[in-house]
Amino acid sequence: MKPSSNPRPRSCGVPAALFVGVLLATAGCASDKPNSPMPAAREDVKELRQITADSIKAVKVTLRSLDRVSAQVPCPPRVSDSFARDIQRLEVQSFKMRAHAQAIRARGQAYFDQWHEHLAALHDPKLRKRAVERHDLLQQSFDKIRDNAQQARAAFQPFMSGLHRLRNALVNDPSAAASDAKKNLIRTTRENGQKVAAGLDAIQNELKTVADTLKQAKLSQ
Amino acid sequence: MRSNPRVVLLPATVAALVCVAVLGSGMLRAQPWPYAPPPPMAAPSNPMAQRSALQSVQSQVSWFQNSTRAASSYQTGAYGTVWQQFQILRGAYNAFTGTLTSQQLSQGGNELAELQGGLDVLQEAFTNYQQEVADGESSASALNDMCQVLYQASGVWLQELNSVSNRLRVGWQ
Repeated sequence: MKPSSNPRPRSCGVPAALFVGVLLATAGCASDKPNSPMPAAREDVKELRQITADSIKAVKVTLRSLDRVSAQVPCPPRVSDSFARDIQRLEVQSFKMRAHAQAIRARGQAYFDQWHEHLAALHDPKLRKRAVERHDLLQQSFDKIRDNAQQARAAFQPFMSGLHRLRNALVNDPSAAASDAKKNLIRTTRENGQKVAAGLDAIQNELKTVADTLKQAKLSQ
Repeated sequence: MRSNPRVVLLPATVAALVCVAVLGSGMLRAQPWPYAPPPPMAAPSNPMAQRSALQSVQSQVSWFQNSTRAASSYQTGAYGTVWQQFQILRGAYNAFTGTLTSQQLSQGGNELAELQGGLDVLQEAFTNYQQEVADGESSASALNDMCQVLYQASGVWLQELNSVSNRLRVGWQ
């Protein structure tokens, strides 16, 4: 008997059943975690430099506004309105900086460790190597940043409080700045504002040191 | 010769009992003894739960901002309403962080602490309001100042939340 030229196709029932069985068996095994790898770490130094620069600008604008208010008695409505707007702008523009300072205080060393991890995860291998080699130097810079952030944060509260009190006094009496009590308030508020500005300047300088340290690695390539 | 039915049934019964004992012990093993209380409910950290929790925070920021906008029109209880909306926002944010995986919590430790710090900074505005009112400032004026700052600052906070969530791939499949 001649073998059939058209052999009966092999049944695919068994492999299909196995496949369905495996699918059903593993249906509950989906991972809870996102499948994609975590994205590149953010550029902490660059971001913090920008936030600090915004805050320094807002503090200095407000200090100049304070000088204008105290220089004119009675204070013209245009000047006091501008003063009120500058205070509000300062509160909003310093928001991120204050949030960062709060986080640095809350996390302490863990904040630096992650900061350093991000530096050590940079794409550029030279920069990565440099970040690891300069760990101690970066730690010193971070400690200075942390201390200055706390100093600026501590001075910010009385600075804002003084600004609010002065703004409210000027709304009620445009000549309020003439009284001794208000002159004293202006002086202490200015001092606190200068402390905030000094703290922020010191942070900015330290961040520049960090950026320069890492830049040197790039230049030496 | 007829076989005794009892003689035939006895081995079959014994075999059936042995089978039930063997199979049953395997099934019963799934139930621990003594029955332990169920573990505390942990928030699910699957992408859908994360998306839902994130949307809840985003919506709550909108509600909070609406309350700061509408506060001046309230005859009474404006401060309490804004405060209550803020506390709901804090709660929504805490629930959101509860849905993050350990990897996301670890990777975004600083950023999440900054978001938490941002909420603390927002809360300071309420303290400032109380201080101003205690200093003799009219409550309407102090409330207006507080609400304007809270409205704008919460907008900044929301941008940060979105940026951090995107970076941590919250709700990604």
